Amino acid sequence: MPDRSSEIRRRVTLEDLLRVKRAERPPPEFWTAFEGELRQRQLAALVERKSWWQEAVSLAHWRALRLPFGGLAVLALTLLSLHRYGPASAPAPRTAEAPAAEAAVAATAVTPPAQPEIVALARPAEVLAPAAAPVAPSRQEEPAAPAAGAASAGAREAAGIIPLLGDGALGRLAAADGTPASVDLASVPMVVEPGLAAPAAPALGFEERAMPEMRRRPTAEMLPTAAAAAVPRRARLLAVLDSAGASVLPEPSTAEQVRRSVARYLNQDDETRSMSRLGTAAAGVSLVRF
Amino acid sequence: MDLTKAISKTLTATPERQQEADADWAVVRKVQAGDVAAFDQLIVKYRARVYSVVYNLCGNREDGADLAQTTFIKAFQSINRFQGQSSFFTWLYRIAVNATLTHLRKNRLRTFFSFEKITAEDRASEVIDALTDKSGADRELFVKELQEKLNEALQKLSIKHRMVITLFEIDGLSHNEIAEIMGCSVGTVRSRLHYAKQLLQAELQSYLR
Repeated sequence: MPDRSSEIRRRVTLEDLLRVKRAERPPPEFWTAFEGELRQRQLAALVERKSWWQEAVSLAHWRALRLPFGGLAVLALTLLSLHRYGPASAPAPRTAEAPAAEAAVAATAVTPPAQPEIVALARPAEVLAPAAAPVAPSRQEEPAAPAAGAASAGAREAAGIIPLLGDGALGRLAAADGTPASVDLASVPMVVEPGLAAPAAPALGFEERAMPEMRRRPTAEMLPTAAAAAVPRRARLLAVLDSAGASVLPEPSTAEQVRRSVARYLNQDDETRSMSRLGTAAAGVSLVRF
Repeated sequence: MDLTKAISKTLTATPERQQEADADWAVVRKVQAGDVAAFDQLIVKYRARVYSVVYNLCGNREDGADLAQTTFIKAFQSINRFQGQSSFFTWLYRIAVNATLTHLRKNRLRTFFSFEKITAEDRASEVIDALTDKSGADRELFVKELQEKLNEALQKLSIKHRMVITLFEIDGLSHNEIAEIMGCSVGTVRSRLHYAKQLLQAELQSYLR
């Protein structure tokens, strides 16, 4: 033994030092405590319930579900973005009065093009211009309702005002009492304006947001003519509304609001103000309004 | 089992290791069949070795005990997935090493050291005798200082180099087993071992004669 010890004393290697490290061992009582703790943790692990997100993560690791989940996520995102940022040309829900208005429009649509006297109707997207004017394709396909003749003469006269006034007045008519434009305009009387009907007609056959450029030009051309005939026309239109509105429109208050809206519009010189309500500015179209 | 793996295992494993692996596999199959108590045999058999690896890697006994327990719990929870493609102790070591790596990466800045007592092993005592002539309290002090120096030198190594040194020099695994546990080639193991020894020799120069 002393010989071996003296041999080590001469040469201590790294392996010898690491052997000292290997000799570091816990005492026997350490293992008793170790086993007790391990048993507790083992039992706790057995009864431990996974939280919902851990379950979700383990499901996500399941390869068979990756493709369907990924596809569903992409589809949902696509639908959501289409719903949120899609084109504004989605058809508005139709009201009960819409068929009557369409019938009136269909009846006037067969009027020969030689007659410049119009035609009119509801919302810009749903308006049918005379035969010469461009017509929204979706409306062309719809058949005339049997109630076409039911529209009263007063209502047709009032409806005729709308194309002559432009979309600004149309919007005010709708916004005055908060009811949709198609409801009010279906019962508005029709009026014939020989001098103004022809230039105004092409402007009415287009959706406002879809084709703002085509609408702007005829409206500008219409303005000098409208200014010349402004005073007698105003008097005549107000008289028509006073006489027809009370009997045709559903509520006197609505008729009064329509009359006020028309009067306000006729006093207005700035055409661009009426255009701006529909989100159309002089330089372009605003897409933010809903 | 894959034929290549089986051949390489047969060629590299010593007969003792092979017998050990077969015995472990029999116990594992019992546990898989529902005999949960059979897992205690595996705990008793491997707890000291697992603890030794983890303790030498993290450098303190508290974390060592905690990580060794974690290793056995993880092994118990996933023992049904063990198919016997490697020996049980390799699989168990891999769990221990991965748990320790995760722990060390998480607590890189929180390090403290606590040491186990050196057992009265002949070889270790001889080495200490060779290093010092002191006895009694002075000898205890010297041993403690040596432990600190050894630990300090090990902690200066990177985790991978520390792991190779621990598994080879302290736990006595072969190059092949280390390569299987660490998921790298035998050449890489040898290279890391060589580099780690060079670093340790430089650090512990004052104790080497």
